[in-house]
Amino acid sequence: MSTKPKNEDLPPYKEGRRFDLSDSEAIDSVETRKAKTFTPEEDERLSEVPEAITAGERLPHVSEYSGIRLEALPIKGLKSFFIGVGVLLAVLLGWDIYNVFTSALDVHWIAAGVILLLLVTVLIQGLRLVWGYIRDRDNQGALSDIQDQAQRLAAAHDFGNASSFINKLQAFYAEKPQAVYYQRCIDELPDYSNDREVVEHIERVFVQQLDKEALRRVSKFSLQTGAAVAVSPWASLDMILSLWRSVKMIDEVAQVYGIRPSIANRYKLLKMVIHQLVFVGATEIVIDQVMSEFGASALSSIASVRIGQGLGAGIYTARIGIAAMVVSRPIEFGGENKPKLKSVIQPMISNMKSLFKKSS
Amino acid sequence: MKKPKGFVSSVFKKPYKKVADLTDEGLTGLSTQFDRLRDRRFCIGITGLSQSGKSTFITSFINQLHKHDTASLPGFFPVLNERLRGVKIHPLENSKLPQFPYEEAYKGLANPEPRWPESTQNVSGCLLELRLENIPGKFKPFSRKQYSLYLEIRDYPGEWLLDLPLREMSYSRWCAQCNAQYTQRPRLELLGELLNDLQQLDPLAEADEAYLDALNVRFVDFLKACKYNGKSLSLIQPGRFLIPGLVDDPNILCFVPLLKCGSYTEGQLIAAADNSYFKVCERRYLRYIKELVEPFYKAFFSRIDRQLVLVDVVNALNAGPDYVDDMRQALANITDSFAYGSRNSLLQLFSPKIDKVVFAATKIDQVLSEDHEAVRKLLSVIVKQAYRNAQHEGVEPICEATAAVRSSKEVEYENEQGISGFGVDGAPMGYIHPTIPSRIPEGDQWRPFLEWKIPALNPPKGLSYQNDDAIPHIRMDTVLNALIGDKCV
Repeated sequence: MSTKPKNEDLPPYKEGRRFDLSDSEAIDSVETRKAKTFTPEEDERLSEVPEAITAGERLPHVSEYSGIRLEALPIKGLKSFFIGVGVLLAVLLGWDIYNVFTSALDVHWIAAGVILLLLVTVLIQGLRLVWGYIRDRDNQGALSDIQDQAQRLAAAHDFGNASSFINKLQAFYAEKPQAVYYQRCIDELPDYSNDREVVEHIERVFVQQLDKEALRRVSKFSLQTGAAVAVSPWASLDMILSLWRSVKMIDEVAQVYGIRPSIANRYKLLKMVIHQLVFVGATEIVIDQVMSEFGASALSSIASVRIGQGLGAGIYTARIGIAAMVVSRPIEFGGENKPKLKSVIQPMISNMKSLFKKSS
Repeated sequence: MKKPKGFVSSVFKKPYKKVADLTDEGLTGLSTQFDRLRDRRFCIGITGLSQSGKSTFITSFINQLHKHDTASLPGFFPVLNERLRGVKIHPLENSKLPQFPYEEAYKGLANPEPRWPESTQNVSGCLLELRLENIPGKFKPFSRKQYSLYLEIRDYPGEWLLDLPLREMSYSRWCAQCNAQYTQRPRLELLGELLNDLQQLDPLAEADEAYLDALNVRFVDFLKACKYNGKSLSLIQPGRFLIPGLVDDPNILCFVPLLKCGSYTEGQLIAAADNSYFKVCERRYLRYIKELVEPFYKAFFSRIDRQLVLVDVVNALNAGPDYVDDMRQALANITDSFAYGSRNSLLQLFSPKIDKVVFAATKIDQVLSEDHEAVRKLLSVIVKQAYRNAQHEGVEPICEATAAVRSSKEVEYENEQGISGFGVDGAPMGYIHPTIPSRIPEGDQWRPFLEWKIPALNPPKGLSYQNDDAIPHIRMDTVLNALIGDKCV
């Protein structure tokens, strides 16, 4: 049989046909209708006014549900209400204090003096709190400032802008245990470097050592969490346990990079870590990664559900730890030196195995 | 006795009338502002390039509301809940603005030989009063059972819309922009000889009024060629050159872009002699903006609360890649003139911002229903810039495929779905169009649309003016609900 149609009447689709790959139409998967104009039959003409197509319809009386969407209705005036409540409370408080003060003055001037003293003390304490909070915030602000500058320096090949960066880091690590290592690193700095090389040097000699320590802590915490979840019989307890360990771990990782644990810092860090986890690192699908990095054989011996759970919790803790490293590192991770989950997971699996061998 | 009386009255009449006028204006102005503050009156900005179907849309918009009891508007909740009592059409308080010719347009559509509304040559507007019932059970002890909601709607030639970006452009920058446009297809071909003449004109030379006049006439001819030669371009500036409207001093319209400006520095141009081409044209350009564009913007767009952007996607597809690009550019330029965002009602009174945007692809009845979703997506790509502007300010825009007047039905033809309606010659016609892509076609994907044009349709026959028939539509109720639904509670 010939591959070519001899008779034009043969329907062409019955024949196999070759096509040239460079012919884009042939490989274009989107089929398009053949355009044509025709004169409709008598009964198909638009003899009367057509029906309207309304919301949620594709054709008259043919519903279509894909368009369903609801708008969020904001509660109007919520903000102004709270501001109003705040002002009201402040006025009431002021009025009350004034009343107490005047009535105390009626009793005796010493009573009024005591109240005044109390008031001033409370006020000073409040101011100190605010001051402390602002200074603390500065601490975190300084770090993001450093991160920004490092990024800028690394992007360009300029000379002479690095000294302010060095000074900023010095100020940041002053009076912290990292100061010693940092000083050593700066002393070794070759004097011919351009800005980018300075940043690279600091990263290689100083920051990467901190990375190792941070990774060690992450690994420790995730091991602990993994083991604890695997052993623990209560699911609800697991959640609280891993949450608590995670917060503690973020704290410790941040300390390695020189962020002091404080309420403001912790809060901000936690926010950043959650952001990092949810929006930035969301594409890393952990379990898939484990499968591909170790092959099914590594996990096949883990038959128990509980070990599986423990492993999952451990991996998640490790992810949180790495996210914490990313946000608190003074110089952003380059492509290849970002810590891999693999380095944490490998020891965890062997640890988990040995744990259950012992127990079984 | 008679004489002094007449004298007295003539002395007092004039000032009295003035005071009466003033208080009258002040009072209506005040009540207008009060209505705005109570969220009872707002302004819908209907934005669309020329030929995008603004007048038809407004006609259908008014018609659907006016005949809400017979129109199919299940997607517009006040009608569904039977809370809409009635709709009245008033002229706007501004006495200079003629009323929107709704009756004529509706009569035209409901004619035995139906025709589309004439293309708009001048501004018009109207005030719609929606009489609504309060939601039963809602605790409002002091309000009446019914209340009125006022919608301001204005119509204008779409050509003028392109003048809005000029407000923030100096004359020399406009010249530079023209220079960039005119040296590329398709304008290059339309310009012909004129390009050379414009390029040769030395901005610093002394202006020859007669020559400038002649050039201006040729320039206007070129702009008209851009617009009316088959496929119409969108980005045509200045728009008043095409449709002047009411212009007191025709001299304002006598300038041309000086393409050679780019070869001089800003300093040289500023130091040019007062009677040089550059200075003469610049003066007229600035007057053009001050006396024509600014008042237009102020009256039509500075106060809008809700925006509806109409885009004729089908026509853009028919015209081809250059024209789609031009349209996107034009839409992007225009939307920079609008302020999006939500504010509280007091601030909204003084500097309004648009808190809701609906992008509507018009004339969707030319497209098979299974491709409507693709048109929606294509629309969102075409208006991307405006979409992003709105999103940036926290306003989530809505894209919808609509037809103000449905003038076709779907039939089966040779086992395929086809469109059946009346062609522009009035004869019955059916067609099957190529699949509409959900993205702007690239390269070879354009071919089906370049080889074959989706035909235009005439309005459906059989609407009766006497019987107050409602105009059939496609998803006008969705648009209505998106634009004003939340204000009707």
